[in-house]
Amino acid sequence: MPAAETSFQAMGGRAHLVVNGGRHLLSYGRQLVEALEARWSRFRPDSDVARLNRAAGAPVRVTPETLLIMRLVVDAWKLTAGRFDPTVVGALEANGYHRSFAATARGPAGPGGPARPVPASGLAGVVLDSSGPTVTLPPDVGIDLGGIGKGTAADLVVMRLLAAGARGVCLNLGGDLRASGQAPEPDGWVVAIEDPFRPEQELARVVVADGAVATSSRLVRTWDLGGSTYHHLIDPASGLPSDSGLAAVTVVAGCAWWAEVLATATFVAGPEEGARLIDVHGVTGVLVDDRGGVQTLPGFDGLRV
Amino acid sequence: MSGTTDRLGRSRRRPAAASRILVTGLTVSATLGLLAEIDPAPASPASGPASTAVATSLPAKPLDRSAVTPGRAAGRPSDQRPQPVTRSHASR
Repeated sequence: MPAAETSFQAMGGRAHLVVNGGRHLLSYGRQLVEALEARWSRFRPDSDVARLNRAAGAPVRVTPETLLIMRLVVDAWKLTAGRFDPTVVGALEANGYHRSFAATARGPAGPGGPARPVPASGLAGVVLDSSGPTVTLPPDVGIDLGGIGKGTAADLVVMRLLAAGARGVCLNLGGDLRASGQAPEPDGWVVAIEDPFRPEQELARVVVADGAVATSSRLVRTWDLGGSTYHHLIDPASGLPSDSGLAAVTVVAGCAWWAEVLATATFVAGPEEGARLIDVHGVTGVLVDDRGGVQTLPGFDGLRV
Repeated sequence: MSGTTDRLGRSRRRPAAASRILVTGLTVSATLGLLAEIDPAPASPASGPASTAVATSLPAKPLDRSAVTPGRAAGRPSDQRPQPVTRSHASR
């Protein structure tokens, strides 16, 4: 049976699902993605995340999937020394990003004037209680699960579809993807990495039998603010868009949530510190600096095709 | 808080509680102790709507590169490389 695929809008971007050996699982996979989006979108008033943000300071009963991702979020914050921090949502909202890109014709409308720095609060003080399950955010702390939400959803849905009988699955959520199981072709799951400065071209092509690829870039999800271009990758320390010297980072790791976390943290850390961060965690990737210079990290060539 | 200054002279504070990289080689199973409640998926197109409950744990997997299995085509000359299944890019 040949692989089946579908494409649909989800989590603020385009989703691409490929299922090898289980065409009937395509619609199920889409349902699962949409269910996770309904739990994790900060733009949906009834989502777990929106309820957590409104009730910061008090315990909120959440779905088991939300408790799971909050455990990953806290781990990611610690493992990246705070460079990955979903509480940067305060900076995004203070500078106009309080509606989804899909809901606006030209992206967020800034409040006028220069960008307002809003350093992230960090996740110290978050309480996770599996007996509810409940999550408690500290008072006045909000979160945005954006990228890690996509990565975790890709991991969970791929695992779910394999458990449901698919031979192999690749789920790409807005450019962050997880592939596992038998690929449609014997070569493996071949993934093109887009050139951030020339999106119609490829920067590289990698092939995995089981793995994940995630990319972060300052060149997309941008909007005008006080005559300057504001982008969504906030340095948690300064509370302003990261100006680390990097234009894009792609990480290849075992899980999509982790690839996404390290791509974001590396982007914030900059070329030298970011390369060390990727190295110390034993994964690999490719960095593109502001001038278009490309640095492939140790281990990357072993995945290239 | 610890801090440095970036290229534009802006203050870059780091939370004291997370001022260093804590551990490497942590596995997902070590961070997640949750039950894997998996509802039945549709066995066939005719089996009707399925639950949208998703697994609430992830399989144990190292966080380093050992968790990435290269495909068979890795290292093949570029003139013989297979076509991509999908593309990785920043979320637009």
